[in-house]
Amino acid sequence: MNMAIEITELRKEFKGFTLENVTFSLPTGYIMGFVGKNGAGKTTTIRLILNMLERSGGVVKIFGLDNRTDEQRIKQDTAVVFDDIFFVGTWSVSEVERAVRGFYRRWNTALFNEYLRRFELPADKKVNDLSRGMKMKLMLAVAMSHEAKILILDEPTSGLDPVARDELLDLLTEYISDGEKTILFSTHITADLEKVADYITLIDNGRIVYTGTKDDLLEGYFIVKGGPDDLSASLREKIIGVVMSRTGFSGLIAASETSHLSREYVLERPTIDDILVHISKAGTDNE
Amino acid sequence: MSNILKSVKLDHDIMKSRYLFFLIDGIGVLLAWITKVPMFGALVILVVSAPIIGQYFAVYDKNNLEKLYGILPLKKSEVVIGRYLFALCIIVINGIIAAIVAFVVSRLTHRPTGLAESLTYLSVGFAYACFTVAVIFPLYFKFSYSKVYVLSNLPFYVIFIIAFDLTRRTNLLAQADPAAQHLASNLTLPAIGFGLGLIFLALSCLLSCALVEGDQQAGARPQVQGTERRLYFADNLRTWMVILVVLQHVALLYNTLYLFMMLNQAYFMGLLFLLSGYFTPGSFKHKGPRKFLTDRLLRLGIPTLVYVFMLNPIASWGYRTMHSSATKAEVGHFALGPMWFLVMLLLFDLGYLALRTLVKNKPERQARPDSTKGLSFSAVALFMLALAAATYLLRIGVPYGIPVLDFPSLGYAAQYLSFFVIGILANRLGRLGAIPGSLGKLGFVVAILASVTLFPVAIVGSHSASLWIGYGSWQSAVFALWDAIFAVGMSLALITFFRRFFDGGKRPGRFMSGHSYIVYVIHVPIIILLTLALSGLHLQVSLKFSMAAVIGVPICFGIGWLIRKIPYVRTII
Repeated sequence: MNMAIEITELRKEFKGFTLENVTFSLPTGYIMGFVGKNGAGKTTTIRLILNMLERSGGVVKIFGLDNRTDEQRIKQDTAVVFDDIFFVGTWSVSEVERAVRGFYRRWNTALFNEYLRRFELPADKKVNDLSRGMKMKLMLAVAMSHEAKILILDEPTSGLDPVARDELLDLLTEYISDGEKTILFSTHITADLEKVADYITLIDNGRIVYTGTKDDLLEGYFIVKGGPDDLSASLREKIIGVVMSRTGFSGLIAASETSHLSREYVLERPTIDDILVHISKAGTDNE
Repeated sequence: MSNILKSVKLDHDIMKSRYLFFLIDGIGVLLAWITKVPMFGALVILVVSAPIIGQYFAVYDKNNLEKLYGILPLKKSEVVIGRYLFALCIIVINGIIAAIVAFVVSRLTHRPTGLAESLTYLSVGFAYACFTVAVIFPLYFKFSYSKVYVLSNLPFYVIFIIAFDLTRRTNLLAQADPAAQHLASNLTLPAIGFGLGLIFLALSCLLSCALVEGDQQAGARPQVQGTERRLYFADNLRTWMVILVVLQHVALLYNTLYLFMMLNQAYFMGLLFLLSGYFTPGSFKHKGPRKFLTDRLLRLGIPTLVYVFMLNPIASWGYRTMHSSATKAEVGHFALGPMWFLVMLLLFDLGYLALRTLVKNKPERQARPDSTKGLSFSAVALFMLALAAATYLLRIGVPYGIPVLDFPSLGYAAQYLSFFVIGILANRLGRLGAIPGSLGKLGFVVAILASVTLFPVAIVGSHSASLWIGYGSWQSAVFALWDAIFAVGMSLALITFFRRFFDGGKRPGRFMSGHSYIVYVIHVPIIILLTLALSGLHLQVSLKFSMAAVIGVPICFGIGWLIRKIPYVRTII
């Protein structure tokens, strides 16, 4: 399997936060959801992938190329959408195109104009005058107009209304349909990923807690629930992120541990959100 | 180049909305008109270039453009160089506006200004604007514009206003001494002004590149696990140092290029000791203590003996033939000559062997292969200060340039020993290949800055010619500080430069590095005989030096190649 992104033991030390030994890989032609709560290390990882930050250790390879020594080649094939617009506010939409097109060998003006038409973005409108959703669409139009092989999205849906989010997800599915493009989609809104992601990487407090297919993740865990007096010490050890309430407890448990459970416990299929919440809870409890 | 131009164009696109700031040139126009001294207005117009350019960084901060540059396929250095070129364009445009304003106002006020005088003022304004940009740009690249804007700009405006107030009532050039007026009239002064401005920008550009690239180059070259990659750049650097030794001795023979010789002297032998130190632990590890000792005695001892008893008599005969006044005390039959390096290296190697024997041959600790922690500038700065202090103290007893026991530069002993030890430590920590490229650029900038500040202070500040060479004078302390900064800075710059551009193991490079040691041993009699052969030519000394250098270096390598064809020579040298 050809790997679009391979990250091995990536480290970055800040005062008060360390991204520790982040390791995951994403095969070509798939969408990976990069999930974690705010401040978990998603944006730091993306900035390290883009060589916008100096790493403390580890290796980042994009299509087998080192992201530092082959930075320019990689960036010709990489498109990025951040959570907020990064064009000059006084530029018009058409000026944005004029400013960036010269940097890309495979820039396609016709395709850019096609996206403007589809997104209903007026070419003469100033960036400052665009709505939040329109700004995101402008970044997408730029990202998708130079035939990039990897699309990296850093929290693109935060602040978008449900309709705009749905449009974006449809667009991503369409973008990846030729099997040659790859998407790394960082978000803390996990509902988006249930729909489109093939792979999931969960990050919590600078550490990767899961990386693999979405199906393995969802099938690999259950939410276990029980009464207030049902939580034995041995069971507590097996549960990730126990949440106690007056009516009982709930937590995440590995599917392999469920065969020994008696019938008094309730098992439910978790959502990615459930998994993220309980893993974060476990991380907080351990600190 | 094309990416740099694209970067300049992007800077222009980003700056478009702030070009209205050129209207502050109006202050200069107003001033020229009110004072009736057009050149003062022109100066102001040039000086306000810096705040106009600063607007770029304001736009950058406001619009998250760090992210835009983060996604574009541009090297960080291309962005920096582009930004400096863009700044230069703004200064040049303002210079043109200033010249036009000065011309028009002088016509309207009937106060014509001569071309030489105009150009002198414009060049001063240009140099000042470039200097301002050169100081504030690295700060803008390192910190947020809004945080440093006021503090970084304020001193320049204050200095300008004070200087302006001091000079506004008089014609500056008319008050200047005749030498300055002469320089201004033949356009030397304007050329210096424009040249200085460009040098300020170039040095600042290097510094900014170093700041934004950080440790990008450090450890960038992947190493196959379990293999020790040959450091071709170290071989090539050693070859270049040996060539510099040959050129140094040619210059010495012709008694010319003193500055070249002083600058060389400050770092090149130290760097040779560093490279020797770097390869010492590997040699010890492969050969073991006994073979290491035998090998060092043979490889360093035999060439020394050959030089002292065979080559030096030839060299001294040639030298005495050229300089009939030379006494036997100056050029003895049997002398160490450049072999002092081999003798000192042998002493250092024996010291290393003794130390390793004391610690019972414990293997050298190697750095973790994934370690990307580079050398920090603060560590380098501390070392510079320590080396300067040690050199200063040493030169109280052993002044610069005074030979002791056939060792011509014992005043550098602190540098030689410390560089040798650093070489060993660099091998242990795997640091020679992991010195950040940015540190090399920073080293170069610091070396140049020290050379234009400390070096002249030490030399010019000496009332007596001998003060700066030692004896505990303050001039000697300044010179030792320059020495240390220049040696460390140039060494860092050359190591990173050779690693970046000369790390190939191509055949010519391999040939030259394979023969650099023998060239070091045999070059003295060869270049003396060559200069003897050229002595009949009636040419300028500098031309003779160039000829001897161009002919001498290949001859040395050629003869070295022939000698190494002799059986068993290759095993020694």
